[in-house]
Amino acid sequence: MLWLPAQIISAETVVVVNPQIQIEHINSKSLGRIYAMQVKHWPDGQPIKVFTYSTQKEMYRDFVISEIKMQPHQLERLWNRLIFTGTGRAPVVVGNEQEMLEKIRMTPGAIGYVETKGSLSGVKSLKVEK
Amino acid sequence: MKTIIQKMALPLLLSISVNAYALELNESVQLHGFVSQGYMYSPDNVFAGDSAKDGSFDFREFGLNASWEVTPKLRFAGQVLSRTMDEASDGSLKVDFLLADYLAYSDETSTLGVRVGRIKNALGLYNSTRDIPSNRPGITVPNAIYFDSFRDPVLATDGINLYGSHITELGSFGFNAYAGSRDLEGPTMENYLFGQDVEGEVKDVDLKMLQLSFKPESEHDLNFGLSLIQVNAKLSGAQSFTEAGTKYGMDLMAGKPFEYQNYLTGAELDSLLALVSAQYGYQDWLFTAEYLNIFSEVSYEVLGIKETNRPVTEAFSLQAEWFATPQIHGLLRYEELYLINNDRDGSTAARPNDTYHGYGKGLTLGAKWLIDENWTLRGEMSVNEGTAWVPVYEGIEDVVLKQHWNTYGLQLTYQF
Repeated sequence: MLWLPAQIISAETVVVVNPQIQIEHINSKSLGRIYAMQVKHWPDGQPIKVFTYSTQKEMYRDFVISEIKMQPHQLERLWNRLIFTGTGRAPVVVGNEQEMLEKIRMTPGAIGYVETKGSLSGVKSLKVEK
Repeated sequence: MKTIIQKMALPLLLSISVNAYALELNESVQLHGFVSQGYMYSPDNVFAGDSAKDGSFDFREFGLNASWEVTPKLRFAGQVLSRTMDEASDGSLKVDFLLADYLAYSDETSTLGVRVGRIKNALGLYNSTRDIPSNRPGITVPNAIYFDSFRDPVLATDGINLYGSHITELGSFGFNAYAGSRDLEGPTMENYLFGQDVEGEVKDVDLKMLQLSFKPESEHDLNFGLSLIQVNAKLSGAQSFTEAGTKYGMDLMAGKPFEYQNYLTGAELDSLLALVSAQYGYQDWLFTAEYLNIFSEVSYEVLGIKETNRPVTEAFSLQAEWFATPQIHGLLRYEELYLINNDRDGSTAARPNDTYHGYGKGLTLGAKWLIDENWTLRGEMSVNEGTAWVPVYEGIEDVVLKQHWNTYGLQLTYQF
């Protein structure tokens, strides 16, 4: 429960997807499987494109702990294993929220997250069931 | 690199619009790599050579890989790797993996795919990433489970790998099945089989492997794994019966003590490795346990007379990792290895210069500092008894090894 104070003071994370995606909500487990690169397609069959930030960013850590309910080191080891054994790929890393929103708007099947609540035009926000 | 890929990709992507093509191309190729520089001080025993006795920087690693997603279903990936470990590994560049991956089926609960080429074996929790600093729990993987003799034979398969996963209400199930072979270099397999290098060599091994994983559906962060790998190998280029007989006659006249390894006229190995893994994450802690059995049948011919040994190798490792802060992590590990499980004091496996070769017990204490996204510094010390996992190199049989030995290591890694 160590992360609780951080969660309170930080802005709320909003999960965003490309507007063509036909779902309105997602649960933490499914989100975790998408970010672990285990589930690769949306229910309609469209390939999922996963976006994230640098692992050094507070926003990334908050997202993993509070939305996915995983420890960041676990997720990073999974990504490293995929990358360095050639068995998969890691999410695409973007520099900031603006770039994130642009990628989500432009890329079919894209999923990402932001903390700004304003101006989410052109993307769709998903409610996360915990 | 990109221009070659662009040329190759062009025909495949012609049907896609120019905008989508450009975007796809930018994100279709991923490049990653790492460099590590280690320092090892091993005052009691040789460690991969002589130099670590006084402290040595002859420990380096380098890796570079690329993954190219041609379509969401088809992907190519490859990695080159260099390992320098004093006299045990010369740093020559090797193709670590090179594969084509076809995802035949994928939906929100199931995946099924196939890989062909050189594929890393997902044996236990660490085999496939044992050369990747960022994925090792410490400077090394657990020594008792991933000991040197079986390193090269089971590292990767040149062949085929079927993989799949399925999510149910009980949890996630995964499997990997491999079949193929692997070329070997150096005398590590000969050392495991005969306690020393011999005439002839084990040039390659045939591999068949099955790996199963299960992550239960629960609030707890739990993972279980079972890996089974069948290894078959033959000693090729062994002496002929006449050569061995002549040598035996001459040694007898010279009054040399009889050592069967000198008169081998053939040998074959048939091993089954069974490795059980469990991992449990609780808040800032990650607990890992692995247990290994190797059931071997070693058939060998000494001066034309056939003998068969059926040793069972046994090992376990218990490990706790503490993620104290996002930047500082701690490690505590205890492990034991018995090359022949009913010979706990190692007397059967003892060698002339290496009395305690039959077993190993070790306690490792380590810390890791993630300086920034790319740089990591590690420090570690191990207190060991028995020499079963002292790294093998050519000529180690001439060195007298001590029963109790400590190692102290530092490692700086850059990864992108």
